[in-house]
Amino acid sequence: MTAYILRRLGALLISLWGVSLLLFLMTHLIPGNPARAMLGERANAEAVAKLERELGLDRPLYEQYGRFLANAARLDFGRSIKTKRPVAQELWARFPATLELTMCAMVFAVVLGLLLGALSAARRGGALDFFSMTISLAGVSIPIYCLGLLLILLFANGLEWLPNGGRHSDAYAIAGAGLIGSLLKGDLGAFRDAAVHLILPTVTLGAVPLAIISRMTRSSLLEALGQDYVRTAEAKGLRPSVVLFKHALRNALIPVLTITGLEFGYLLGGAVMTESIFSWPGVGRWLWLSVLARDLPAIQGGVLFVALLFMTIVLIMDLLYAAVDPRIRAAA
Amino acid sequence: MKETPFWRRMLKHPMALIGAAALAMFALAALVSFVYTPHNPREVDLDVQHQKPRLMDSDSDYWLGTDNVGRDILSRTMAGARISLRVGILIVVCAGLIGSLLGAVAGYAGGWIDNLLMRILDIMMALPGILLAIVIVTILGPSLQNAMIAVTIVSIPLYARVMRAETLRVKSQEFVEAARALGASDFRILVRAILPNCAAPLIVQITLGMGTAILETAGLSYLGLGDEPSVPEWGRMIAEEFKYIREAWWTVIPPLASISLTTLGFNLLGDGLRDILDPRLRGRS
Repeated sequence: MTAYILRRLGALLISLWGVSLLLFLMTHLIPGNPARAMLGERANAEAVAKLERELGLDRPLYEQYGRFLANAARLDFGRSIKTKRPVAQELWARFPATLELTMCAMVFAVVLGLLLGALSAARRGGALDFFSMTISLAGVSIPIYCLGLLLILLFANGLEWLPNGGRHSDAYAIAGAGLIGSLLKGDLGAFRDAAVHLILPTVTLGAVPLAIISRMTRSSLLEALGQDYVRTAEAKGLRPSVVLFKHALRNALIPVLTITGLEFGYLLGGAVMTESIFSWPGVGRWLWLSVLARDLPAIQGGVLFVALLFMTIVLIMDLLYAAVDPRIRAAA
Repeated sequence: MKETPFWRRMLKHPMALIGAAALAMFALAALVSFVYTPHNPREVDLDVQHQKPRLMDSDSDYWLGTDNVGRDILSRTMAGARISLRVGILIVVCAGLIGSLLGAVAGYAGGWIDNLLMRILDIMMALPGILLAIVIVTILGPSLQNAMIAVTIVSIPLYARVMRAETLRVKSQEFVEAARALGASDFRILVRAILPNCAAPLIVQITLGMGTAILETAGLSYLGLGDEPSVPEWGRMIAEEFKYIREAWWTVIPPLASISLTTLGFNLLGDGLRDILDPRLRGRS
């Protein structure tokens, strides 16, 4: 297992290096001078040249990349052109909001996806199967921003049950709040407010993974239900629910686990859309605003941060996968 | 035993038929929009801002109402179908061709060529697709054409992976061995023996990819990385009208429903084609 972990870690570092090189080359092709962008269009040529020297933009490309890589390894992505604050500081300030949203969306997708998938497989061909598969098909077909807007239209603007955006109401605008923060402070009012603000973004972001997980669970479970050991369990007189949940579902979970890991990547990408729709103060919305402002260090730092996060999650899921299934270790 | 013809299997698959019907409806709207739209989709008329649809106001001249600068929403949705279908087709054709070629070469050649190509594609896949697309559009500058280029680049690894897996499967089969024994060149084996036998999963991937391509391009437009507002593109229409959702909610429904139904259509058709074309899945739900 140690050799497997080391091999996977090595692959992660190589991929991360590749992403950093790709990103560096791509962002340096952006038309316009970053130093001029920082100082404004009216800045004189001398000031621009001075800043270029300070930032190292006058150095050869390979030297710039070397410095970028060395700094990135220390999680130093430079300063944002727009806010003039360190990019890493901006990222860390927004990361809890994104983490809270993606975790909630993942829990929502996994719990409901497993349940819907298992019930569909158990009642194959019935009304429940049709209903849950229709929901999952709609989940993968409706664009994330369309679903978000529809939910706002219905529950925020129409019925006025839920807020249409933000992480908390003005009355609870305390720094570092959110679901966990308010709970730790023992402020139940703020907790309730944060929970209510989380509902629509969670459903929006979790819809696609929910659909994929439920479809995967259903097909994987249907395959498991046709196996000999299930027939043996049934022949022994075990209750259908025990056969389904204790025997078949446990074996069907392995492919579902892999898909769940990959869906995290989708969630991190989808967070850009969801956060922009719901004005959620996370990394995704910040990244989108940085793109609109052509804030080069912010884009580089933000994307590299998301890639690192995504690859780490995939690695953890791969290791979990190998831990539960020895065939994976052997094949690798 | 004689195999049931493709069209007969297709007719027995209700989901694929529903998908095909939805797509035919949008294709028809797109075709009609070349010769007729109730109003000019780009014509601004500030006297008729946010007119209600005829269903809500029987005196209205506009079937689906007008937007914030008085443009007819039905005409814009019809013209939008033309843009979206063109976007979807162009992206999958380009990404499908480049991806399949890379996948086929990697799978057939093996060794360091396979390793190098696959590692480059792995790096591209290490970033969530929409993020990579956003970075590419930022570099190229916001426009529909650049959004299409970005989505094409992001989609390439998917087709390459499907094609590589299929090539690996097909190249070890006896008819390929036979072609090689007869002295056929690598190019001839690839084009005449391998590619035609990899078509089925590729067709499925292309059908499913069409929906994703339309969806992602509209997503980039929604984020303000597509064309200018006068272009009747569904994603942009939603972004423009969302600001007025409280007073004129009906303006976002047509583009929103159109994107969803088109994607649903491609997903249903793709799923159906997978069932029909893959012999292992025939007879299973």
